[in-house]
Amino acid sequence: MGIAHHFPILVVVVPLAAAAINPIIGMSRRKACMPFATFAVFLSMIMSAYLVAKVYFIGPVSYHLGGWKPPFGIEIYFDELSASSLLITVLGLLILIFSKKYIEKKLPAEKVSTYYTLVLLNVAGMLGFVVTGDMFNLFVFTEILSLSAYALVAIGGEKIAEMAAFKYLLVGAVSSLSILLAIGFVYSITGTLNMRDMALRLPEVHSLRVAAVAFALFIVGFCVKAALFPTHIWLPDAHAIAPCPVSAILSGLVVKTGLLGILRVFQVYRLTGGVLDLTPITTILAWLGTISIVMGAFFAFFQDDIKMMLAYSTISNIGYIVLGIGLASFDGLRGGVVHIFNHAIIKVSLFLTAGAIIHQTGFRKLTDLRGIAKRMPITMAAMSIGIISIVGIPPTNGFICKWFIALGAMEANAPLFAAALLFGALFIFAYYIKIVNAAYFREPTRKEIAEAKEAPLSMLIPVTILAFACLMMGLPLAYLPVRYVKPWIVALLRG
Amino acid sequence: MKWVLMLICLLVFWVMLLSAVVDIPPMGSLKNPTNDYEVTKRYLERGKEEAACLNIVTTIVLNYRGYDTMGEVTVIFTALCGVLALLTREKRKTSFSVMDVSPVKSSLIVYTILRIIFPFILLFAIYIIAFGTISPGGGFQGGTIMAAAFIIYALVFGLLVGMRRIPLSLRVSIEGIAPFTFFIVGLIGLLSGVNFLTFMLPGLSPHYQHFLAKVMLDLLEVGIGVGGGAIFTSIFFSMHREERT
Repeated sequence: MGIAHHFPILVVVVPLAAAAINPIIGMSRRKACMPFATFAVFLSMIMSAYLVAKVYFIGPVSYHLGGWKPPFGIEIYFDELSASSLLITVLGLLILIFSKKYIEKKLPAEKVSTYYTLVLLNVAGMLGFVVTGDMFNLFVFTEILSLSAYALVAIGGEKIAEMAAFKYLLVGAVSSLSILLAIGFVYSITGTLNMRDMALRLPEVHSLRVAAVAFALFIVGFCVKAALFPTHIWLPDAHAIAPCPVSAILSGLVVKTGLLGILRVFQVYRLTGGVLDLTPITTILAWLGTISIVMGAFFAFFQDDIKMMLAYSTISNIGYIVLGIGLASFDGLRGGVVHIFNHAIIKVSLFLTAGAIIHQTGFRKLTDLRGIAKRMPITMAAMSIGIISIVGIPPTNGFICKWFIALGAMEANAPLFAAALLFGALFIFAYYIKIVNAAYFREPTRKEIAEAKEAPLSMLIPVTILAFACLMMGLPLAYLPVRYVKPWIVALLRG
Repeated sequence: MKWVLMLICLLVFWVMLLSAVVDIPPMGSLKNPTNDYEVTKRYLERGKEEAACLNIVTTIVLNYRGYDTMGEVTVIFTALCGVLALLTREKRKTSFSVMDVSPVKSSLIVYTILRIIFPFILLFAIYIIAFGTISPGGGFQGGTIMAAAFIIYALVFGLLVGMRRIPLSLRVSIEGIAPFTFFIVGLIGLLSGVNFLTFMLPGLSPHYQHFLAKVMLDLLEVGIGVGGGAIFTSIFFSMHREERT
């Protein structure tokens, strides 16, 4: 009964408490905000790492808040899916380190401490979301992370950013409402809020219709958060207009919480029997994922703005993940869940490199950025590695997930999905090669490019670490996450 | 055409939701799952002696599901941060409100009545917070009443006076106090060797256990109330001000 026993809750509560006292620090010493936030997230990271190892060697960890046994109190259930807390804290740490210089230049001085508070709240919300084992608690933390995300989009203060944030707010509020409504429905027929308890009691409810409507509301709500095809309208604006570190958090992590939510709902409802026999929901999800892949890639192809391109590419990759989940076969699920992890690393890396370039030159359009590779070689090299990863060329980590998803499509006897996947990969290759082409093989059209310098060290460190992670998570360590989530997927498929 | 499509979509959604509502177990019947399950029964039957609190609602909100409440106060705090991200705080030299510059001041009657009634509003807020564990009410409600008092004050006397009376440094230091109080109370539990947000500390006689649990619950109520009040006041001040250019 040492302190390690309490890690599951401290992971969430330490950043939360840090966010609560961050404004006080910001009032007296504005410079101290960033080290303080970094330190809080770092503590959280250490605890996450310990827990992830513990889950791998011993099995899921359960923690009872207030000492009440579930279902009476709230339970924290740290399983293989909650291991994304390590991903969130590591990437959050890198993003915070990157933010230091970028935010100083971008925001007025009085908003700096608010920015760090919001990032801490966002990270704490995501951590709470992934570790919890209680439905209502899931909603509360959804709310925290969504609210802070809306505010972070608007923090730049331009009119267009406020409009994008407002759009995001409306769509996101509707999705939060539908999740809350679904929780209410499920509670009314099971009488419990604990997820594992709910999963036990759902098959024997007397009204399947309420359960089905609740399921539909859950899926719709989380799909909006994940920006799946029909509900993706808010994403390009919000992710392209926000400051770069914020775009990295949004695209890499916040969008993923929607997908993790979908997986949690499947965990509660089981993949077979009951409600899922009424609707071909997995097929619908697979089709929507396919449409997302093609649409996202298609729109991204015609963008000239680097961040717009990356935002649309996020939609495309969300499509890959949802397709993997929707195939509901062992390999497809493996590919989908691991792609959550890998896409987060790659997309954060790409957004941060784009941020470094924008910070140094002030340009966002590809036509303006011609010839940048000569001036910022390290940043551009890191970006190229990210690009190779996201296209899915074998020695990097993007390949392994797409391989598994394609295998899953073959396993489910749906070669059409595999074809769509390949088509999407080709399209992605086509528009990302535009970036490489503009940066490496074109003469500069702007004279500012010729005077641009390499990014400062506090930006280069996260960027190189992430590029290195893309390569390491490729062939050498590719099987690590795949093997890690295997027990969870086996349990899900067994029902 | 667009309108017709929207109406059709809404109609389908509406029918779907209503069909589910029809199927929900009837409210108040003893047979329905929410009343028939062990969770509710335990809350109602054993809540009083387990949770050291007479008010069942407060028992559930602060004790059985205290972690959710911690999340909720964080949501309010996040809302404040969102407002600050867009509007930033008021500044001592340049901010003013409509009341400060309008040629028509509030009448003497309003001034006098507000001066008399202001302490009573605050007293009522303190009562609601302090008695949250044994009667209806609690931190959230008391906090909003407290904020209402300050807001009326700033509306009538103008923002300049309001900013002097309720200084910025004070508000900044107590805005985050609601989540932080939860953190501190949780840490007290951790240090005495039980789980986070446990109120019944081990190794004491039952009488002291209950007393300490009551003290901690009241501490949480005060934290939520004071923090909530400060947050709402700050949101109002940020939105109400105008800037001299």
